[in-house]
Amino acid sequence: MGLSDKWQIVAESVRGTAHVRSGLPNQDAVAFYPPPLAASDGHKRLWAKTGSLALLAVSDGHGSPRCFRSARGAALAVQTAIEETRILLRKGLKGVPAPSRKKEIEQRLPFRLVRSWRNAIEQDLRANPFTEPELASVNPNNPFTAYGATLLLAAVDRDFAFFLQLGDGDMVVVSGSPPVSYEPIDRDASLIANETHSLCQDKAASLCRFRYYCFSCKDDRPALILVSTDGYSNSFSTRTGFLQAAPDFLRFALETTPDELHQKLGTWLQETSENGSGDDATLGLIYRGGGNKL
Amino acid sequence: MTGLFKIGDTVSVTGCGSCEVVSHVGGGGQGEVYRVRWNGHDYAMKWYHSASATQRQRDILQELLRIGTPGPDFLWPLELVDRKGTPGFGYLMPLRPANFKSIEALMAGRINPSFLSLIDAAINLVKAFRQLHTKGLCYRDISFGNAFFDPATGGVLVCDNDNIGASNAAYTGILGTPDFMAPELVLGKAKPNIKTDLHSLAVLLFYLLHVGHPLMGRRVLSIKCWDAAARIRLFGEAPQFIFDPVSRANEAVDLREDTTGETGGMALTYWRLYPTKLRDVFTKAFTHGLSAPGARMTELEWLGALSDLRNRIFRCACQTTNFFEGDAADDTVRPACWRCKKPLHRPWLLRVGSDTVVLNADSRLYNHHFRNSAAGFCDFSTALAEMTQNPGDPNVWGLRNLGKDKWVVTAQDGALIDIEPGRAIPLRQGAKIGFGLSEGVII
Repeated sequence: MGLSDKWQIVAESVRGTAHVRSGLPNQDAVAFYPPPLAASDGHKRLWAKTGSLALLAVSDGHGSPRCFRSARGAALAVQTAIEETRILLRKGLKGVPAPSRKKEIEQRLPFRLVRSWRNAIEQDLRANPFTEPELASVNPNNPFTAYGATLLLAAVDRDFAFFLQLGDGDMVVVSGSPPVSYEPIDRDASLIANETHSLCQDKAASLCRFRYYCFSCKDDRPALILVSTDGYSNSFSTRTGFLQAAPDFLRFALETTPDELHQKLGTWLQETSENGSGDDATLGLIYRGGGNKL
Repeated sequence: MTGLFKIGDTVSVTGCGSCEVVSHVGGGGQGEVYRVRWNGHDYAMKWYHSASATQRQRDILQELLRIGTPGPDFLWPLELVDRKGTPGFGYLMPLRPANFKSIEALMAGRINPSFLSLIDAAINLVKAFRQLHTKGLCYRDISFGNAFFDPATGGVLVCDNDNIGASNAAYTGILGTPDFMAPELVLGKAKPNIKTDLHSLAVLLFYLLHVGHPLMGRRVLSIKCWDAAARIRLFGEAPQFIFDPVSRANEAVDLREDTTGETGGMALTYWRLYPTKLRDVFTKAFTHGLSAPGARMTELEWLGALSDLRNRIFRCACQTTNFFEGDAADDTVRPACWRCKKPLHRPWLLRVGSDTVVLNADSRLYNHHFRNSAAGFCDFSTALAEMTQNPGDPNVWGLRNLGKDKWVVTAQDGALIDIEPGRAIPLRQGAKIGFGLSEGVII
């Protein structure tokens, strides 16, 4: 399939049509590492080629009346997730033997992500205290609820990958030849209907689900990783249809440039929101780009 | 990321035919695990990544196969496996039954076992490691990823046994999981040995009973980057118990301050529930035991402490487990149930030897209570006595003899009454019961 050794990252996030109608902002957020090649403008032009380490974080602000600052909560979630993960993988794991890496990441990262997010929220609250009208909606037992958001994180390095998920949203991996797609983290059976876990919950770190893969060889690396908020997957009538979209993305990605892929993503997500739930929709891809069309 | 093997692949079992891959179970730092079918039965097959598939690892496995399992609580290697054209090697072991859960599941609140199950799991873990240590072997990598337990019964299974070797052996493989490593190992001043295992075991027991790490308290909050320097400081150079009786520098942080629970918030809750005797042994393990390997709690000391904890289980009328704090000479009981907050009634107690056993409606007594046999210490398989209700008056409780030998009760007037097997004695304060080699008093 002409896969490259280098990762490309392309992501896009669109404001849901329902949000446009009601005047709500886009409450999703996306961030990745290494950062975009060009200065980003909101959620536009989020693409970058990477060396060995690639990180992609997506968050969905809950958006309910009690979560009135969830757009900010989602933005802080992806920022802190990328920063904490980068520090742990690049500095914290130095000297940790390969067999111990999984335990080290699995045990540390959820706590550090949650604590870092809460610290960021506290800082935000100091800079922007709740206004008088907002105070009426604040959960008196847990002011972090105002910023409630999910978190999905995909990380891929030279010889391992891992996935971390708190709350709803989707991650899909495409690998093998012929390429097959699968979900690295099983859907949370404890959640029903639109229930979701959240960074604002007590014990949020314990609710993170985690999956780690060690590549047995170079060819074992995935061809593509898709991370999206549920606004995207909910537009598919079947789960199979959603899973099938990932290899399609890979085929298209290998036939085009990241710029073209990025433009298409924006269009597809817009159509998804218009024809589907009307929710915000965010999707990020890490893939082994063809390399000849950069 | 689809794994090295596909469903239906066959793998040679050294000298014993071949097994067929049924499914991919998971992957870890060292290798991948598959469910395989061999001779009509399902097993787990661990296959090492090339970096871990060393000759030294193969030698360790061959030695483990030669030694054989120390007991039924170990998912011990059964056979080596190889495959032509596939780099590395692996081994077969029994599959872990689905009812055995990880301590991570406990940490995440996905399972909610009773205190009794947790205590029994702790006892069974200690017994398993005692079996290993009495063979001169050490585990080297005890952590909560390597031990599973049945939340319903407290049964345990120790897995990932492929790093086990002789105590103090020259060894360059896994030194342990940093959080569980003894300080002298973290500092590179010792090779894995039974004493370093005892530290790891104490950490594991603390995790199991307190849902938190004994050395991860307030200091964790000041760690900017969780790197080697942080790990060495926290677990090697300056480890400090989160309930250190002298210094609060690394104290457990209340959940209201650190909601993640990583810095001892949950441990703080549990610590307050347990009796002083248990708190004392953990304090010993994580104060003197940190710097002096010889001062660490031995397996027998743990069994004594955990057996005592089990004896102190004390159920409130709301069925919540509390722990009886006083001793036989002291009527002190917790003033109120920690859950329903209602005053606790004084329980029936049996003082036998140095033990004080709370007699709950479902209490049972075992060999070690009667000191009949040192070999059966903490063996809960055969009860020798149980609580029973008078069928004519449910308010009257008695102790039924389930053993093969009669008991001799000394009545208040000095008369001796035989309690034959199957018969029961009504509970009366001051009643003395001769249980063969030992005598108990109802108080």
